[in-house]
Amino acid sequence: MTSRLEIDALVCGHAERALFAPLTATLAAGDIVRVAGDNGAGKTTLLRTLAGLLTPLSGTFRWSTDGRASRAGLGFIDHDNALSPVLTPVENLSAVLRLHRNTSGVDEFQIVHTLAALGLKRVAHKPCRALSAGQKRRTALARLWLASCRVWLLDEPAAALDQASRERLARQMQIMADDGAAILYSTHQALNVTDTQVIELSR
Amino acid sequence: MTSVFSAVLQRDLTVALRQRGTLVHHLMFFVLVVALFPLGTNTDGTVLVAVAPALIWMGVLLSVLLSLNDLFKADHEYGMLTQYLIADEPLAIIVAAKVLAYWLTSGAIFVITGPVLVLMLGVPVAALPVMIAALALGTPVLAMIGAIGSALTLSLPRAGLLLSLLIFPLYVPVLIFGAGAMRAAIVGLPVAGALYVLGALCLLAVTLAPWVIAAALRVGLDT
Repeated sequence: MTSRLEIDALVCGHAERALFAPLTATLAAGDIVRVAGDNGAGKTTLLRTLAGLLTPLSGTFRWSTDGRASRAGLGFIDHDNALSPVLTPVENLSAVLRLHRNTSGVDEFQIVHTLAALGLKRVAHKPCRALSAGQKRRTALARLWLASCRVWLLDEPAAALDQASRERLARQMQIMADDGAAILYSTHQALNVTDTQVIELSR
Repeated sequence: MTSVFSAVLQRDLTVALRQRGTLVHHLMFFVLVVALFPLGTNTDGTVLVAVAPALIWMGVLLSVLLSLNDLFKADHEYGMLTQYLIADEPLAIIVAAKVLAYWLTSGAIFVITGPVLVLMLGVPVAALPVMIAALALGTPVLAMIGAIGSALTLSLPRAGLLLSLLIFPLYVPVLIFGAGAMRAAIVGLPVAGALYVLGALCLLAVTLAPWVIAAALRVGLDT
């Protein structure tokens, strides 16, 4: 198994205040790793740090894709859906996908097709402000089907989703992992996926 | 790299066109600032022509300041900025596309409406080409420098006042040479020197500012 991410004694937090005890873990291709912890335990902070958005307080982590030290091909879906309220789901997704090298070729037809498979056919060309919270979430998650990232960081992907969508999401996560993607996610809803590892954040 | 640039440019222009109301408000603000000024002074033609260059530039500065606040705010609020920060392509390219889209929907409008407004103030038609050139070279600098301030103050609540304190001093060269070129054109003096300086400032801003803005965004959000 090729290793995608090595975390070594990583401590994250805000303003010099550590949120959890030093964390050491490895993420390999095909892994589905759940980050567990109570509200405020630092799940989001950990994911944002690994995405390169925050500086860790101490410790190191190293991304590697195909032997090279880089975090290219990283997909990150956080609490915010990255959807402009005035653009349609198709326009929003097309803009986000074109930010990544390996997905810049995805065309509108594929996006509409994926949205239809997620039950969003009716709203695919409506401004996003008209969408419900669950519909927005499903639109943001459509990137899982469209982008072939090698590493996914998912912060509460199942928030605001109904039962059917949660099952669809779990199935897709399993398929992506079988294809060799590494997934690191946090959730408070039960997701029917086989976790290869659980990281418990504690003080 | 060009694909990302065009994607961001296209996206921001679409967003701006969907919010046409905001564009019209900024334009109206600019027109009103310039149009109200003569009401507060005497309408002596020589006075108005003498202050016209300064008046136009102050109008542009104030309008730019009002619209700058929103440059990164919306993207920040719904999480698009996060996606920009982790994108595979350099953040500077994305930022350059964003500022270009911003300029096309603000600076370019002043370049078109400014000359019409100075005619209203009694400036001779012969001075118009220089005015358009000065505005076309100066407004990109305002947009680029303003974007640095906007990026730095992004995570602060009610940053408007701080933003103006931060960037107005940096606008001084553009104001001096922009208004200077216009004044010289009105009285028939050579204008090349001032326009060259504006051109140099424009080149510097367009080539260097995107990297500064990108760094400012990373610093501003790492809290």
